[in-house]
Amino acid sequence: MRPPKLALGDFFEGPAGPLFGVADDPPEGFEGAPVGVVTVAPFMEERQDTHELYRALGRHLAGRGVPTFRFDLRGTGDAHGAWDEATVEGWLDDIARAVSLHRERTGVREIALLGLRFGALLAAAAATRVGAARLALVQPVLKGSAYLMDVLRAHLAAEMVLHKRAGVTREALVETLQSGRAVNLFGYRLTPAQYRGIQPLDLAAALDGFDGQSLVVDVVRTEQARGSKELEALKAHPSGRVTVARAVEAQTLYVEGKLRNVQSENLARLLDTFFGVTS
Amino acid sequence: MMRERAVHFENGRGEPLTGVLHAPDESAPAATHGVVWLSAGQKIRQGAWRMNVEIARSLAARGVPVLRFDFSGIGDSGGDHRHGDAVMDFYGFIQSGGYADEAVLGARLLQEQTGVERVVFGGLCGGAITGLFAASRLKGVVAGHCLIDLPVTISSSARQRYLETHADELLRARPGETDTVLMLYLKKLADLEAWRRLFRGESDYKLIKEMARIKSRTFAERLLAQSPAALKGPLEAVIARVAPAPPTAGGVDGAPSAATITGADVGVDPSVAAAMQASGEVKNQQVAAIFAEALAAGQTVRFLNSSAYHPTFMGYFGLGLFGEHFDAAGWAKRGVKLSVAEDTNHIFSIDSAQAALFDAVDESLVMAGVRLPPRAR
Repeated sequence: MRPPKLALGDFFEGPAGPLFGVADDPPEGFEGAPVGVVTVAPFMEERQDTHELYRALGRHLAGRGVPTFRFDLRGTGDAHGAWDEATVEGWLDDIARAVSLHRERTGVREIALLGLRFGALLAAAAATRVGAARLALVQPVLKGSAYLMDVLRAHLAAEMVLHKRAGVTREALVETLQSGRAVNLFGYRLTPAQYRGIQPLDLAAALDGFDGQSLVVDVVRTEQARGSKELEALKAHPSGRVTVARAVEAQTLYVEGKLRNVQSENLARLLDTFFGVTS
Repeated sequence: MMRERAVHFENGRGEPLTGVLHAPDESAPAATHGVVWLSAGQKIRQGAWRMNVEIARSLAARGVPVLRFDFSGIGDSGGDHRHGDAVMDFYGFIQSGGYADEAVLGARLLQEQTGVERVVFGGLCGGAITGLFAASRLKGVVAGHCLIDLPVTISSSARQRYLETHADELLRARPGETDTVLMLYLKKLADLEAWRRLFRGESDYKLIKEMARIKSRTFAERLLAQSPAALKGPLEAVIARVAPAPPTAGGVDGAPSAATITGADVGVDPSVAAAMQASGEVKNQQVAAIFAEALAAGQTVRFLNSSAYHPTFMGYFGLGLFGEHFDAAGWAKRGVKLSVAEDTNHIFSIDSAQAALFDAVDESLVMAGVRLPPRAR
């Protein structure tokens, strides 16, 4: 087996099959990086839509001397497996594998996990078991149960538009899942196992058991915009190790994974400070 | 076991492109044909709901190698983006064959790495048209096409700027979204002020006008049926002015219309196509030419349209090409098949649309001469 060419983007051996990853390495001259970052991708189509943001942040951090690794969880991106075979437990295993690979490859002393939306919730759920020292959580999903309801609501709205009639209710979709059948959400079949795995995830609870520092970033469009009260509330987290900050980004960070125009300078600056690197 | 490996190659400007090659199991008989499955528009190489991965794995499991990759400026590939602020300029770039060079290089790479002699191009939207453009440079190599929602108009920043200030017309540019507005509109039926504005000929009037044009009489009649009884008369009068009923005389009784291709009720009529044309959407004149070139080179073509997109396809391309009555048997003899997936959005995400998509992909390969076992259900 040849070693994977992760700097170019390549498959590597995951716990249950090949995963795909891309490593952004610091340029020559940076030695002994104190911290390495592993990113955790968000859910379903948000994974596609944030590809460019993750790519931009990876390059930015590498340019500051922070080796950064992004990869596809099983059943997503180019990774092995079908979406509907993937489970939360499997995704947590994949994060652990990516972290150990990144440690071996870069020799960093500390690992930070960086996640957006559902990726932030998964990162928090994985943080303690993978021995992460820091967590950077951008617009995190706070509770799996509420998130699932949001996803189901969005699905029903789309169905109504397509079929010009209200189809079923959220309750009926939940019943379908509870009776052991999958629900097609925008082309992804959400399985009962995924539903059961996501439902109990809780960011605040995950942070209780995490003894590293966490940064929660609320991204808003203007200085005047009101931020999320729920994210603000995390300031009072009993661990005392959670910082909440706002990043003003005039454009959306969701750009369908495409064009080189994602604006994330203010978010990047917050991350620089959190990771202890300077420009 | 299938084998998937990362591939890295360069475009004509030396920019690195990243992709995945899905190779069949080593014990499978040597493949004669391979597929280059091209990404749609702004999408990265997996596509919406990972459709490109699923298609590639399904084919590779049955002995057909597949390459999919990110075009330059997208996903993990290098290079700058190809537009300023307007994504429609980028669409226009693709619709004019801007990525055809990279598709040609992809086909050559697939041939080199797998030994296949013939290539089938496939893709949704921008991927479909890129394959057609590339095929004109690979005449001895390309066996056929799988064209899903082939774009037949040219987008531009000028058009985008116009649309951004004319929300009603944006609906026409994105017919699939018309229903969103209809839903909002129907919710407003109880709002008397909305109706007053409609009959004063203000914004809502324009909205109805545009919707009526897009969706034709079928659409207008559906709206009428859901209107309060007292308003039916005046609304009918408004609709009659903006979307006159097509002439019924002179038609062939009982003959299938263009709207009933393969049995799908898609509600298109020539007057609608004419109205769309008159309202400023720019027809892509190159589509008919590259399509004709593909046929002349003996390449087979399997079209699949979503019901959301089919009216635009017919209005700008299909009616002119196929006429009002699509002669399925006649076109099949020329290696062309067209079907419409009903109740379907542009990304084919619902169960029945996914099935229609996978069926069309399989059929495109069979039409192109591939011996393809049926896929496992």
